[in-house]
Amino acid sequence: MTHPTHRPASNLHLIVALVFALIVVCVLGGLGLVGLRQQIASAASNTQRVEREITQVERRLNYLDTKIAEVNNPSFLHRRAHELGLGLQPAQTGQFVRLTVSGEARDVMFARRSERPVRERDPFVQTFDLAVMEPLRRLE
Amino acid sequence: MKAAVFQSWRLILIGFAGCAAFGAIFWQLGQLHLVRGPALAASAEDARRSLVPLEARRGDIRDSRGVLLAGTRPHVVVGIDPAFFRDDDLPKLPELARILGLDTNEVKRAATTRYRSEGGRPIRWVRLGQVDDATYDAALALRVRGFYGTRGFERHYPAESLAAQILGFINREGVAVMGVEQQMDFYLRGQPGWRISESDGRRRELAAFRVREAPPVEGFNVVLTIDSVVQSMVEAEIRALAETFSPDGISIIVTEARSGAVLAMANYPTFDPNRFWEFPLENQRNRAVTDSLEPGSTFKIVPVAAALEERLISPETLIHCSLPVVQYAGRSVRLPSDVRELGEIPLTTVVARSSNRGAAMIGMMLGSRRLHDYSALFGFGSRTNWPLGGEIPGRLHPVERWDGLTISRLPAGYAVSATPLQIHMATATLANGGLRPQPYLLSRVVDRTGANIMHFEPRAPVRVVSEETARTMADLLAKVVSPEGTARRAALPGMRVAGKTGTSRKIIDGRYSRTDHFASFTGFFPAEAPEFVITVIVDNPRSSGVGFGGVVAAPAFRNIAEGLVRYFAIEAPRPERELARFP
Repeated sequence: MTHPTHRPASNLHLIVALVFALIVVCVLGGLGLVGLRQQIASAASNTQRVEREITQVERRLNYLDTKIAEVNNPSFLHRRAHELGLGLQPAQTGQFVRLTVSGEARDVMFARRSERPVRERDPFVQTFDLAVMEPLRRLE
Repeated sequence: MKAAVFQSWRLILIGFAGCAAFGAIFWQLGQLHLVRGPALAASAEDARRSLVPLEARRGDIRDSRGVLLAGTRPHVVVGIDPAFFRDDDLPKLPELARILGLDTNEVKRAATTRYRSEGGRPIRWVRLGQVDDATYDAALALRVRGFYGTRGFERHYPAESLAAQILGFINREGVAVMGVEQQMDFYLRGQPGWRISESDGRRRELAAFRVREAPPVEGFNVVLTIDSVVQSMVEAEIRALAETFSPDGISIIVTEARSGAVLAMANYPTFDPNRFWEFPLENQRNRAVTDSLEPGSTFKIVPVAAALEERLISPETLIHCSLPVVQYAGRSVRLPSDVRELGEIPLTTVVARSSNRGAAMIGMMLGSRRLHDYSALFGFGSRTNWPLGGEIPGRLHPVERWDGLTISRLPAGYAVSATPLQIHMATATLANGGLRPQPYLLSRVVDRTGANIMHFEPRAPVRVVSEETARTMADLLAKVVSPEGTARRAALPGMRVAGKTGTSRKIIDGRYSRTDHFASFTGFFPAEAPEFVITVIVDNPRSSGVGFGGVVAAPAFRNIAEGLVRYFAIEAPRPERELARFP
């Protein structure tokens, strides 16, 4: 009594194919994993670089802020005006000319009506230096 | 047979040796994994993982217009490591020195001196200075080996000594020492953050292995009521006073009349918080709240306002100012003297000429109890609630502790001591319609975007005298700043100023000095609708004559007031000043 012996041969092919497929999947998976890790590392280092750049920019902004404050400081401005010999003097009380403008006149001074001052107790006051006023007087 | 036995014996031996070796390996593996495993794992974790602290940037202090008064500035501390420096880089050193603003020889010495003169130990790093980031980057571009820096932050006060005693400073240990820095430290300092990450063998962070991160929270910004322009005007005036009179000290306070908002408060001597260690400790004192003086004639507003309020007198009431001795409560009381005999004069002249005897007479009309109570109501003898602390209450004795002369001395501003701020707030009471305001300095706490975190309102004022009395007092004090008064030098063109001079002798070694004194002036303007209150106190001005308050302090008041008129475009409430009216 003999049995057919073809089945083991066909199974062997199948097994080899599956093993091969497994190896391919493993290799590809491994490579993918390595690639993914590589991308994570690359993204992380990029993030780190951007963070460093942001820190640097913020540091420069902070520095700029303090520098702006320094040059805006009234004492600094006085000192510079003196150093440069500009001869600047604050306007004296008598040099101020104040004009009181009525509500209607005030309205037309603003391009956007909604932004005009609405407080009645806050009259619009414009001051001019007398030097500026002189030509206006001559025009009258 | 023998060979088989031998072979068997050798096999057993080899087998045993193999088993022993594997046993040892397994034993060691067991030791490493099971017994010492957790400790070793923790050790490896410690070596790999790092907790990186993330520094929070301290918030700014800004004035009412947003001008930066105190900020945090980045800097780089640079230096050179002689062990890493190579002689090939020697030609680069002059350029490095130029960029750093140093002497070439100094840099060369730092780079080439590899061992200490004492002990011969190697030098690892020599500090070359502190520079900004741009300078550091330029210096790094030279690629001088061994040259590097450490980035950090420092507290910076861009306006140098401006409002130094109000702002305070951060000491070298990073501790807020005084002023706003200390009082608002909780809001300013922010919340430091941290990051858990892994690092490589060179301690460089491996960003891909960051585990957890708590970002730092920046400190909030604090906005003050101070106006840096007004503060600057005041400090310029202080410098001028100091130059002219070489005094021991000066305090000037400027507040808004209604809210009590402090626009400026400055003292002499002062200091630069950027270099606080270079100045004597006493320069850090905010004399306006920490030092007291006998207010002298500036105190006379108290008995006069009290007597008006109690309707004991009116501006026309005649006061006898020639009597050297009067009867009070059944005994003779000697009155303080005046500069010259004034005779019987109306109250207006008593105030305008600052008569000590007149004030004493008014004080006695009021009586001890009422005089004391009104003095206390005006804020003498108690703190003004200065928001930065460090304030002293001054001294106003209870009536029970008064001696026989107090009733005649107190109305003239002696037998009482007060801080410049107390004197200022007493005057501000009259400028504010009889309501004593409280000093208002801290305006807002805002975040980085400018959104309000906290908003401080001025504290409720205390009613001291009626509005009518305050108005009458303003009229009386306006006479002081007139040709017939003691403070004509405080007058502003085209604007009524109300104020009171004071010249009080200092107590030295328990006696009133004949030479040392305080000269003061406190006042407000415009008298009809007060906008600003200014107080000038000069401690011991040195001049050829007597440095009266009207001579020393009143001109300073006028200069500051003129500056305020220009800066705030204040118009006197008089219709004739309007030059043109459009329909």
